[in-house]
Amino acid sequence: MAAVLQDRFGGSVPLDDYCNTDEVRMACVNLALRYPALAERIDLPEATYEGNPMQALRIGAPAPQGIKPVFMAIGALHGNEWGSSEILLNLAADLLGSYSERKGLTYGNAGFQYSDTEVGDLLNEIDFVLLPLANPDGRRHAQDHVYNWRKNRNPADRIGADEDTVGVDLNRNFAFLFEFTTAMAPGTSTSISDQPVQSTYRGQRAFSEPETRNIQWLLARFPQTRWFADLHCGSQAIIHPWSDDEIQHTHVTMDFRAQAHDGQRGLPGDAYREYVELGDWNAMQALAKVFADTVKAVSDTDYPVKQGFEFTPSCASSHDWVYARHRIAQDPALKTLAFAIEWHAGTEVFWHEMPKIIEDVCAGLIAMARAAALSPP
Amino acid sequence: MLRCQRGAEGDMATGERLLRVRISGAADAVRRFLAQHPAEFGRVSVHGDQVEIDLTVDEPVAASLRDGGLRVVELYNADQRGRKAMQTVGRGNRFEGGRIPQGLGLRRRT
Repeated sequence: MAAVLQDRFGGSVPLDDYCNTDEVRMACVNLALRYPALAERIDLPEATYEGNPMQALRIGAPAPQGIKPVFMAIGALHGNEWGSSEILLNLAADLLGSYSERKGLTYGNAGFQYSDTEVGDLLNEIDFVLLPLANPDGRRHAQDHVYNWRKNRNPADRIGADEDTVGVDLNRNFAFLFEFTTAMAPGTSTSISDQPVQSTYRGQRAFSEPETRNIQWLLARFPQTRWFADLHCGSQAIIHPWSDDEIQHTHVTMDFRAQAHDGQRGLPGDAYREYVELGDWNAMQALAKVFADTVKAVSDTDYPVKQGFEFTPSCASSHDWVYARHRIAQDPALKTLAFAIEWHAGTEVFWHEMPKIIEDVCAGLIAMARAAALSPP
Repeated sequence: MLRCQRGAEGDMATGERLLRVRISGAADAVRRFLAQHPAEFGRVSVHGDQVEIDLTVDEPVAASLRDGGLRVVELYNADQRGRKAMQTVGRGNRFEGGRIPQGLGLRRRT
């Protein structure tokens, strides 16, 4: 891999270790400066509890005919899942370098390729909005002190001197069945907690945290976002809604908004199943399969396509909320097909494992975006 | 209480290790465990009424799972891997002076 990582362009740096928090931020800033015609730095409005600013990048060719649909991807919402930032920084560098230098992209030892024309067409058709580091405080704490720190660093619910009670699991802080104790059936093993000591602590209310409000803002800034991917690690799979229960396509009113179904969700094999439009379901399955098939071609690695609800339920995660927005607002224009991409089966990942993962996921995301661009929802 | 937030030094007070484990057993028993310990787990494999999941737990929890009739296989020592991973975080700032990250996919002109 050393040969691949050598500096080829002058002024570019091989990623030979994980980036620290300052490096992720500066990489975003510099990419936007280097490619002003193709990249825009977006400063998110709120700083984190520890005062860290957050930056996103919009990447795409100028659109003479107006607004293009957006493929949004965010990473490192959990402080201990470091590699997601490097995946998105690499994706940005690849897309920008390919377009501006008219070079194709090649991934994996098998030489999976996108031609310069294919990358050019993609950036002419859609914009990418990438948020490589969604939890700067958590990443800094995990990299410097507690390797598996998952939450942010908000001390609002800290109990005495108990360090474990600091922070909120940002991927349990979105407005999708946030009130899980009433929404879900009693006794379900839902992966969310209202106890600050737990690593899945949801926070006091949905969007209580600046990091999740920034993501909410980013989606409002780009209402043309049609696809969304949240990068995580821990199970190596590509996941799509819903996460609270099994699904059905016929009973429109049997959904997460219906109070009449409170206390029924989360149990497999019973009468309650979450409604999803058949067309959306098919589209999400198809796009997820494109990702999985591409990674398989790049490195013979399996990424099973899964619904979020598998064996046990989950609530208040980003991808469920992002897809739910159009039903919450009753506005079809807000429909965004959403995914969580889990890029490794464990959470403690050595850097030397990352280059292969980065190539796999970047190749898969580009394939997904190309397929998506052909048929926006 | 399942506490999974651990320092670089592990739990020095008790010497307990944090382990990545594969738990397998009856689905109901695994669900009961997860209802008590709302942790996020990784890989899942369901075979009829039997389930297998990967999860990070400390040693006492792993022992209690075994005592409860579930099979527990240690995949790796999470503390050890986590400590090693911390040593592979870059220091300083490699992007000073306007440098950018080098993309892994940019290899050839097509």
